[in-house]
Amino acid sequence: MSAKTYRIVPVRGLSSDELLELSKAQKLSLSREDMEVVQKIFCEIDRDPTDVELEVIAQTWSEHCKHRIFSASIRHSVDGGAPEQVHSLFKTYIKKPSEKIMERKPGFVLSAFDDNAGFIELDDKLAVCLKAETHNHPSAIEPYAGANTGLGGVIRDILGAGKGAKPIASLDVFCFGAPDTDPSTITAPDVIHPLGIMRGVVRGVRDYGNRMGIPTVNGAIQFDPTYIYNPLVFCGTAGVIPREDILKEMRPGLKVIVIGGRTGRDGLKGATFSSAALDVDSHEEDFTAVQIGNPIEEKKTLDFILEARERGLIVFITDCGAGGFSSAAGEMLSVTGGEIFLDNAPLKEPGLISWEIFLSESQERMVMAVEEEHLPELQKLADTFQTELTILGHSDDTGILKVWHKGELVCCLDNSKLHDAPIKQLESVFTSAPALTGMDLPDKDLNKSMETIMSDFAIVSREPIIREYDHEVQGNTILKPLAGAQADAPQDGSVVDIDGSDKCMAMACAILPEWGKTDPYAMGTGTVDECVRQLVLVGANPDKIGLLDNFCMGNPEDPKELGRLVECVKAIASAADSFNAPFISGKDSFYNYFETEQGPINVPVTFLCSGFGVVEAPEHATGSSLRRNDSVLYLIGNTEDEMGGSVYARTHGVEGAKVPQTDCVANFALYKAYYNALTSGLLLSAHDVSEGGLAVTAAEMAFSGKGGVELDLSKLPTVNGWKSPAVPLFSESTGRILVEVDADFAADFEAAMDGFPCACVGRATADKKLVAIYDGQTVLDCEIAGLKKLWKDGLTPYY
Amino acid sequence: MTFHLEVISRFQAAANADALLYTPLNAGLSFRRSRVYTVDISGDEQKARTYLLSVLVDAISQEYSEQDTPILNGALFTIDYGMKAGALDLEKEAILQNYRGRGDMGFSLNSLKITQRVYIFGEGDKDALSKRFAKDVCNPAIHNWTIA
Amino acid sequence: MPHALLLKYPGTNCDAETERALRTAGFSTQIQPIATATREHVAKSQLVVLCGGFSYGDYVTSGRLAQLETERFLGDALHQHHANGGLILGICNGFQILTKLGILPHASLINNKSERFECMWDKLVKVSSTSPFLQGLPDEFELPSAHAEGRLVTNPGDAEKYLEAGYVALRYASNHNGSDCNIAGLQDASGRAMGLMPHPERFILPRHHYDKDWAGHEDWGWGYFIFKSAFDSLK
Repeated sequence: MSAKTYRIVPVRGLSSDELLELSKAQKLSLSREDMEVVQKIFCEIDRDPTDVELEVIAQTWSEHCKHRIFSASIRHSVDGGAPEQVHSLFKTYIKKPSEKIMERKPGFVLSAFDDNAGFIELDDKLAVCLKAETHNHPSAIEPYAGANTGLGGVIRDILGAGKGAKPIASLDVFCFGAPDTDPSTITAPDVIHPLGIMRGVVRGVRDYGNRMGIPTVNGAIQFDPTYIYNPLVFCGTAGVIPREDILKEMRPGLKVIVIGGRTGRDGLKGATFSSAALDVDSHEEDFTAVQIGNPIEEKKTLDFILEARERGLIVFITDCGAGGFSSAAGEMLSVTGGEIFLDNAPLKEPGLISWEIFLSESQERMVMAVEEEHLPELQKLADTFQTELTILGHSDDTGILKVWHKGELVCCLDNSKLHDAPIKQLESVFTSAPALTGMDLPDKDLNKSMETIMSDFAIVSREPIIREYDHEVQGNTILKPLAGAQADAPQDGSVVDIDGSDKCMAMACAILPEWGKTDPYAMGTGTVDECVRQLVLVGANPDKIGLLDNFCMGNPEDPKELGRLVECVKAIASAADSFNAPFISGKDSFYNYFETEQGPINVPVTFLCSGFGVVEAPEHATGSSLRRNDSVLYLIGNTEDEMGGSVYARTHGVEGAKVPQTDCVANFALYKAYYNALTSGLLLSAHDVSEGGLAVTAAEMAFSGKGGVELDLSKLPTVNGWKSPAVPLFSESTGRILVEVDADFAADFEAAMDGFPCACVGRATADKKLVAIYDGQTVLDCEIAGLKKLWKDGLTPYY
Repeated sequence: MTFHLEVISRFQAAANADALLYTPLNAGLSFRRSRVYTVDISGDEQKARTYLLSVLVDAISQEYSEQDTPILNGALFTIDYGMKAGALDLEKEAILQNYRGRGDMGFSLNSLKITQRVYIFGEGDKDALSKRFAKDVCNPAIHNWTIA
Repeated sequence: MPHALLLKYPGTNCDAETERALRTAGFSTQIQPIATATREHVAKSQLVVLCGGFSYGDYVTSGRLAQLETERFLGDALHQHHANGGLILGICNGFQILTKLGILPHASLINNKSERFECMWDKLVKVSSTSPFLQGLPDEFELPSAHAEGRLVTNPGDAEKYLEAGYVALRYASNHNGSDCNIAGLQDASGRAMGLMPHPERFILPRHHYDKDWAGHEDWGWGYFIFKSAFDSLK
């Protein structure tokens, strides 16, 4: 008789300490409280678990799969005041407000929170979806592999959304240490230098996205020393699907098949691993957690799925993400019940034991439920696309998931009897930081300030990286990440045509971690504001926007760290409500901290808001590059003395300044007025004012090569004004857009913006300079060519 | 038998070796890359050789050596690195998939090892420099490597 | 109606937009995965297109495995098709495959001089005045490119000979990938087979251009005319 492929793990007789030891020894990542509940479950059913069952529970309850911090009960206190109790950040601040918004606009959101990605209506035939994931820990250890499997994973989310959506565009956002970080400042051994992280991550995204034939059209990079030990890698992908293929439902009597890659030991313990902090030993111990993606395997899977879905052969589909077959089968069979036969699973190597096969997270696998009568046709399709199809089991009506291996029942869990994971109890505190205005700012040499900011890593062109991504494959990218007359000027978002529709989709993202260090609430509202603003700016209908929230933070058991998260989450709930734009999907990543000998280094609470929206007609797609040298420039939105968190403050040593505050209700009205002007054909181009402030916005518009810009800073709309000209030039106040208007349409544009903070602040000039006048004096006078060179060459020595 | 093949581009000149590093050395070193294939063959060895050369070598742009000694001389040191056991080697997968898909060709490829070879040219402390380059070129999470 | 066959390998990823472009130009089309492609598929087509992508991952020399698989599944069907007067177009990875298949003059497409993947637009100069694919195009035009292996190299002296012999269809005005003699596209002696690195299928409409003020043509992007010219030559 062959060796057993599973074992019984006695838990019923263990003491609390012994339970915790068991969790550690088996690397289950379950707490003492969790293990006690596990014990209770098996006492109730009067037997000990198998190792397969323990692994399934550990995976199901892992932070990665269950979002236990976002479901926790948190005692939150601000500035020493009376604490309030928050029961689940997710339900209170993400789900409920979003559901309220969905009620206000019925029929817009077609699916949210319960599928692999959220769907919004594109037109009466098609829907679009978007999903973003993080892949931080694997990318820290092996950046190339970590990033390519990160993108591969989120693409599978889209393939597993509805009955299989077609991926049409990707966005990628990274947070790294600066590429010129002095290696001697990195104290822990085996930490990969930020430049190594950046090169590896970019190449990983490039080699996966380009081979999949999905254009990477949008993204952002943040550089900050806090990310040296824990780089953050966000990968997002959008998809399109016929509306009737969104809803999927399991039923008894279906065959469960797996398609794509084989199962191996390479993918073990990823879900629980990503819920644990990195430490100096991570590099030796956890190498098995890093897999390398095989994009061609996934491309064949994609071709198979899209063809099978078009032929109506897919009843249910999901990806094999964290937890592998266990989570896929759990998702498909937990209600109906069914049987899985591990002997059928095609393996990369012999000798895997039961839990390894069931839990392995090997890449490029998709699980589907199909009618038995369609199996021959599906097999033919698999042969056509040269991919492997295997029948793994079937659904039944028992309500129980049974897993068989070598003739033995290795896992038999009744989902209805499985208790939910215990709710975590957490403490959080937040203390407000100073928010100074009217400070004496270093403003003697504003030309030099401008050059410093223009060549800062936060601002410089991402062109060397963008060109490595095929952002035009599929032939639909009509607003490209680099555009303008010389095809190298930055844009605020991207617009892609959708095959089979007259409408297009806009994508954008915003991330402002610097703000959250002092004012996480302002970071929350400001980030949502920027994302919505960019979407409307490039042409999205403000009433048809869907948002995604992705959070990363350090140790949530540190009350000060958690306090910042709670403040930020409250802010985004309020912002979403004001913009009437629901969150339809999201993801969070915790424990992004690194234990060093000097203590833990946490990443700042980092909130990525990515979004997509419906562009009603291709001609609405609006770029951010000057198109004339005789047009007039309008600034929409108020400029205030809010230098906190700005690139100017960081590069000029200004501390304690007020971070920009955002009135989302007022801004939304402003954006709607802008949108009316846009759809009336009144504007030529527009660029949002964000990192670097108005001066950077104006320079970037002029990088199109068509002309220069002259600004009169005394004309800027403001409520409270300022003392120093550095404020109108470099403040990062939110809600602002610099708009280029043909002089012939100036009166019409002013009429369209009547009643809103909007003023003519300058003009495009034939003279290729950036000039700013303040109280009749020239305070800024730079050659566009010189600024562009600083900006364009900023990353080239490194990438 | 064991078939050795080292393949190198005719068109890629030696480039500044700082491109391999995360912080530049400015030590005047240059580098070139090649690929080394070590294949265990049984059956019709001539057919196997013809097949492998047709897959692995591009006659116009590459030259090759079937010797078990480096194709280039005069390097300060070389780093040979490849995917460690369990880490996916995409090139190897692609080659083996093609080989398997073709059915019986009169020979068997019993094993295939692919090594990336980096030649570093110039002057300097070989031990210290080779460690420095290996640290930035290779990653213990996925690679095995040797320095010669 | 002229019929176009698009061969699809594992890793081919520009087939959908190339099919769309062909249909816009008037062709009837069929995308055929190589594993099920037959000589009959080729025989009933007037144009065979090898599209962009990364056939078999391009982990060994680009296009090599696709060439071997084409020969395995289709034998000399493409050569026959060509000899019988049919057209063959290879775009990007398809160009790489065509050079390996020996349908185009002897050349290789290797890593760009920059050693990077580069997604950017190229200004092109039309060299061939007789190509059935280029009749509708002006002497200079733009197309988007996206490749890591687009540097065309030949045996010493061949590139110059190809220029003289009329085998060069297109040249780069500015040679970003380092190709011999700036060659962006090659054709055979008959002109009925052409390969090019840039992607005409990505510039079908004016709005596909990066500059909103582009005014080269009122209704179409330049890429459209490559497919339209082929269609007109077969009509």
